[in-house]
Amino acid sequence: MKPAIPSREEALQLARASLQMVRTEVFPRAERMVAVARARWMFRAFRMGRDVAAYGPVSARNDGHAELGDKLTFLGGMLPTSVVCYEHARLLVGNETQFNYGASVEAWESVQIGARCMFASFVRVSDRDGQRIAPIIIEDDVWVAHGAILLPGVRIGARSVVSAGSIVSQDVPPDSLAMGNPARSMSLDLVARDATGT
Amino acid sequence: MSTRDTLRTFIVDTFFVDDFADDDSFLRKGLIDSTGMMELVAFIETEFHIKLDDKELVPENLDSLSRVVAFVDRKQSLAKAS
Amino acid sequence: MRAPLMMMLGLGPAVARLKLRRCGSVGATPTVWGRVWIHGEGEIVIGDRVVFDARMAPIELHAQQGGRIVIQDDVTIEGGSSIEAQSCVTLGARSHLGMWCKLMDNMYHPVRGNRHERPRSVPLMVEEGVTVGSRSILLPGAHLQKGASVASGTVISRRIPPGVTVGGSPARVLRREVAR
Repeated sequence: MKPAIPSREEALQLARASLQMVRTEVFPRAERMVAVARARWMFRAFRMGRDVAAYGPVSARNDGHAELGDKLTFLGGMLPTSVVCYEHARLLVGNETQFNYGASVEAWESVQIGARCMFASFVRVSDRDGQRIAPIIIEDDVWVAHGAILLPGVRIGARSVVSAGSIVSQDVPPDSLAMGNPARSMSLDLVARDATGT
Repeated sequence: MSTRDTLRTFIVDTFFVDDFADDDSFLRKGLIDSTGMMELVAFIETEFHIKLDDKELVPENLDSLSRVVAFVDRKQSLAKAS
Repeated sequence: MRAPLMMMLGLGPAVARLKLRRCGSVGATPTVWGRVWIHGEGEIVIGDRVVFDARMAPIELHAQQGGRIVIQDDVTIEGGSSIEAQSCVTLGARSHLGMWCKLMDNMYHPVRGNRHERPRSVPLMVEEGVTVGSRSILLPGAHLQKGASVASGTVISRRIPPGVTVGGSPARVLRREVAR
């Protein structure tokens, strides 16, 4: 029979394994719970789905009709993310959309964001630019990369990509890549192999 | 300089790709990435004084040197005709 | 402002070193104003007399597991810049990064297909004496050679030959250095 008390090495190994377990399993879950609780508090003025998580500071304000879907993620970082919906405006965000730090979404009239979109850091989406107010529609699975600016009245098609640093002033068709200032869109077939990407 | 030579010089100077064949796909050979493709489009517009529509930015028109040359020639003759 | 007081007391480098404690190695007399946010498990190497001017906005240095950020001597980095490394990002001696720059050596998401897998990283290289304007974005594969400069708001993912100024979006060569 083996003795019930483990040897020194075994104990050390066990301790190390459990520490690793805590690091990979418990910490992320705890973090997520904190994030969900924080989101619940910060978005208390919003109509909100399940499991919205805010890992960092978000300055949220809702004076109109803002609705957030399920499983949104707001990542934390250098600067707070801001989600603002002004009076009589409508802001819809679909399920599983992710926002990186510093992103800013502003609705003065209507902003619609589809499901499974990704917004990188410092992206600005605002339907008012000082001269006009026009609704912005972003369809499903859109990826807006770092520092892109979406001007009022644009519609981004499903599965499209807005490249880093571009300024989008015209509609982007589905399955295309918008790039440049002012942004032009080209077919994704031109720059990415099927399914794998570049 | 012919259209082909102008484009080839631009591509070699800008993207530092070694000798490539006229029919090599830019994407499949990894010669030009997406940012580079936009630079190529901007170059075509300024160099040949033609306006490319966003709908024309598809692989059938721009994916290899021979396709780009054919496309530019077609656009230029269209511009002359009108 | 706590930084100037500390500088008056001659504690600038000591405070800077404290702020940069998560870096693998820090050279002589670093200067740090404001907050530098350093995270990730990768290695960060900082040379001599490096200046981080983060008074307006924090600076991010993010070296992920297996990634490496090398900042050589006399580099200046202004606020709001962010450097993210999965494989390797090098900033050469005497180079200058403007405000709100972004340097990343990985796109993080493929353009098409499953957005949750990571594409390949391509090392990013900024050589000696390069100036990068504010709000520029250097994407994977960018290689700014000696003395090149980048106007503000430019997006680059290719090699820029020595002494060339590029700018605009899409990027275009604005000026080539005349032979001296």
